[in-house]
Amino acid sequence: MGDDKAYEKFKDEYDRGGAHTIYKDEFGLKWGNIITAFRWNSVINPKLFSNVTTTFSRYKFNVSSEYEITTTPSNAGENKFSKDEYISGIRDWATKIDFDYLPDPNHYVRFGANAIWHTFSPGVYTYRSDIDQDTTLGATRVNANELAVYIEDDIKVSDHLKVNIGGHASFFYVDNKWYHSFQPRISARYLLGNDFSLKASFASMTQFIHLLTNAGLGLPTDLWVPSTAKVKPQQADQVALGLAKTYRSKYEFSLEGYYKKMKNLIEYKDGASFVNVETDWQDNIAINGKGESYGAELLLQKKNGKLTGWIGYTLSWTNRQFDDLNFGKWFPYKYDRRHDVSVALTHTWNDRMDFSLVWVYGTGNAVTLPTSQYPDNSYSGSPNNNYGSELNYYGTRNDFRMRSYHRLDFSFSFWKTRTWGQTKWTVGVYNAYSRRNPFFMQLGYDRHGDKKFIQYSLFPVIPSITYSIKF
Amino acid sequence: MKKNGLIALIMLITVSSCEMVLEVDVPREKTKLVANCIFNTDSTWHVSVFESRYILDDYNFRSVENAQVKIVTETNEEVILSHTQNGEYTSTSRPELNQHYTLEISANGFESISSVAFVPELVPVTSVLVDSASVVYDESGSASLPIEVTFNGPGNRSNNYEAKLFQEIEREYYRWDTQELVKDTFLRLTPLVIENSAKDARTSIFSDVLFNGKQYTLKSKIRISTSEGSGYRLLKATVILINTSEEYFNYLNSSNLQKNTDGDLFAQPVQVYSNIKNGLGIFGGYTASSFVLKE
Repeated sequence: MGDDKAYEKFKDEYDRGGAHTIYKDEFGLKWGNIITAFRWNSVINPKLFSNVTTTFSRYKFNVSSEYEITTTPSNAGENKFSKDEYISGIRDWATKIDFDYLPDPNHYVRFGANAIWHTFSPGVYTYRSDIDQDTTLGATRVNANELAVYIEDDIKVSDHLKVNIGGHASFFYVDNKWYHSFQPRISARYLLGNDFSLKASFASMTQFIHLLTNAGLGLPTDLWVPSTAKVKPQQADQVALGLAKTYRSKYEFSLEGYYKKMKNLIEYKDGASFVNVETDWQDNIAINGKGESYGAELLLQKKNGKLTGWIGYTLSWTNRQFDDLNFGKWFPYKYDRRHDVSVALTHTWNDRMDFSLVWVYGTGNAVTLPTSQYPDNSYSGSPNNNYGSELNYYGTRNDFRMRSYHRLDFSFSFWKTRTWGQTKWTVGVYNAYSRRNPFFMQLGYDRHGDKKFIQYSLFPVIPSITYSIKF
Repeated sequence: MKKNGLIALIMLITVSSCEMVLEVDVPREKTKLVANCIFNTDSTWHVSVFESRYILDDYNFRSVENAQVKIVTETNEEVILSHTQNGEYTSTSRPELNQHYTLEISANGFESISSVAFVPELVPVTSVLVDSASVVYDESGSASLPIEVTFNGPGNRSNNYEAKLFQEIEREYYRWDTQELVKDTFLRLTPLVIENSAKDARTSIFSDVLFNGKQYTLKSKIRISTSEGSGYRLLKATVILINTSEEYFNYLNSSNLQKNTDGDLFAQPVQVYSNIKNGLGIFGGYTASSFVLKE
C-alpha cells in the first residue's frame, strides 16, 4: 500500500489593533493504492493443480483546497474556514481460481474463472465552511460486477512448433445492462535451430474500465471510470510478430513488432472540467473513439553470471480519433511514447552483497498547448486603445511534448543469514542525478514579469535506507 | 564528525534538488493573418484584420493596415474593401440573403488567407409570451419572469440560433459630485438562456437538431428587478432571434467555451473553430429577426 501527496501551503500571521490573526491555506493532490491478496495453492492430483486468489484493492485520487483565518480574541476580527475536496476512486473485491492441467507431455492446459465486484466513485465533491454545513455533490457511485472464464492450451505440435490456443469470455453488469464478449487468442513459436525462434500472435481483448486523462497543461488527473449503459467497453485486437536468439545460453536477444487496433475509447470533451460535479462525468466525455498503436520492442537479457539484467527499447506510436474532438482528425494519445528505454542491472559480488541499478527513459507526454493568441470578433481599436477579448490558438490536440522523463535509481544490499531466517540492509538513492521530471505545466510570469511556460516537478534525489527481515 | 558531514551533504543535495519550477521553451511560430467578419443583410461589409501574437508575447494586437481585402460573390463580382483605421476594412455594399461569399485577404509578409461563408434565411419570431403572474426569485433575490418565444424552424437544412433580449432602460440618479438629478437612457443586451433543452443547457446558442422544420417554443426567463434600484424604468424590450450560419455557430460555441473555462487548471483545452484558410478568425453570416415586447 502507499499514498503520494503533492501540496502547496501558505501561512501568514500579523497583528493589527491588538488582535492577532493567522491566515493559512493549502492546496493538495493525493493519490494512492492499497492491495491485499490471499492465495491458496493446491495439488489435486499429479496432473492437476489449482490456485485460489482473493484480493482487495483500492485506488483513490483526491484534490483538496482549504483556508482558515483565525483571530484572537475572536471578536476582534475574522474567523473563517472553508474546505473543498474532490475524491475519485475504485474499490475492488476480486476472487479467482486458476487450474493447470497437464494431461500429457504435449499439452499444458490452463483454465479458470474470476469475479470482481467494482465500486467506482468517478467524482464526489464535498464542501464545508464556517457558514455552510457539509455539502456533498456528484456522489454518483457506480457498482458493477465482472465475471470471466478462460481456457488455453499450450500444444507441442512438433519439436520445432509450439502453439497456444485459447479464449476468454467475459461479462460485465452495470446500470441494469449486461455486456459480454468472447476474446479468441492464438500464439505460435517456431524453432529455427537450437537458439533461434520465430513468434507470432493474435489476441482480442475487451476492457470494461476506461482511463480518462487530462489533455491540457494542467494538473495530471487520471481517472478510472467504468463502462456504463452509455459508455461501451473498449475493445482491441492485436497482432505481433517477433524473433528471439540465444547466445551461449547466457544472452537472449528478442525483437517484436506489433499493431493494435482499438475502438469505443473515451476522452474528455473540450472545456470539460473533471471537478465539475454538477454535470455527470458521462456528459463530459467524447465516446466511441478509435485508436491504433504500433511499434517495435527490442530486448537484450543476460540471465546468468555475476552480472544479470536487461536492456529494453520500445519505439511506438499511439493515436486516437473522435468525431467530436480535434475537428475529427487523428491526434496522438497523451501517453504516446515514441521512445522508451529501460536498463536494469544487478551485480552480485557474493551471497552477502549486491548492487542494483535501474535507469528509465521515456519521451514526454503529449499535451495540448496554446502556441499563439489572436483577437476575437469583438476586438477593435488601436494597439494603444483597444477593447475586446483574446483567444488562444491550439494547434492539433496533443501536439506538444513535455520534457522527456528519465531517472537513475541504484541500491546496495547487504544480507546476513541467521539461524531463524535472513536480514537485509538496503541503502539506495532514487533519482540519483535529481532529474526534474515534468509533473505539470502552467502559463505564468517569471520574476522579471515576462510571460513563460513553467514546468513543475516532483521528487528530486531521495536517499533511502531499508531494513527487512525474512523468516 | 564524518557522520554529521554525511547528514549535512544529504540535506544539502535534497534541499537544493527541491527547486521545482523550470521554464519551458516553446517554438516561436510565424504570425498569421487574423480576419474577423460577422455579417448580415442589414449592414455593409466590415472586416477586421489583425496579426496573431506568439503565446509568450504580451503586446497589444497589431492591426494590419496594408492588406488587400475583397469579397467575391457567387457570380464572381468583386467587392474591394477600403481601410478606414486600425485594421478595419469597409465597403458601402451589403450582403444578400441565401448567398455564398468568398473573403480573400493578402498582405505583405503574410500568407494569403481566404474563406467562404453563407447568409442564412431570416426566421421570424411568430409570438412571445411573458407570464407576468409567475415571478421567480433566484438565490440572490433577483426576480424574473418566464418567457416563451415561438418561431417556425425552416426544414430545408439544419439551422442554428442565438436568442437575445435587447432592453432600453431609463434611469434617474444623483451625480455623486454635484448631487444634480440626471435622467438618461441606456441599452442592455442579454442572452436568453434556454431552459427546455437538456443538450444546450445554460446557453443562448442552440441548434435545431430536435425540431428542424417544425414550430419551436423556446423557454427562458427575463430579469425584472436588479440591484439597480427603483430609479430604473424599462422603456422598450425586444426579443432578437439570430439565425447563424454553421461557421458562426461553431465559432460562437467554441470561443464562449474557451473564455468560460479560462483559468481552470482542471479544464480541458478548447480549440476554437475557424474557417479562415491559412489564417485565424471567423467569416460567418447571420440574419436577425426581432419581436418588440414593450414600447
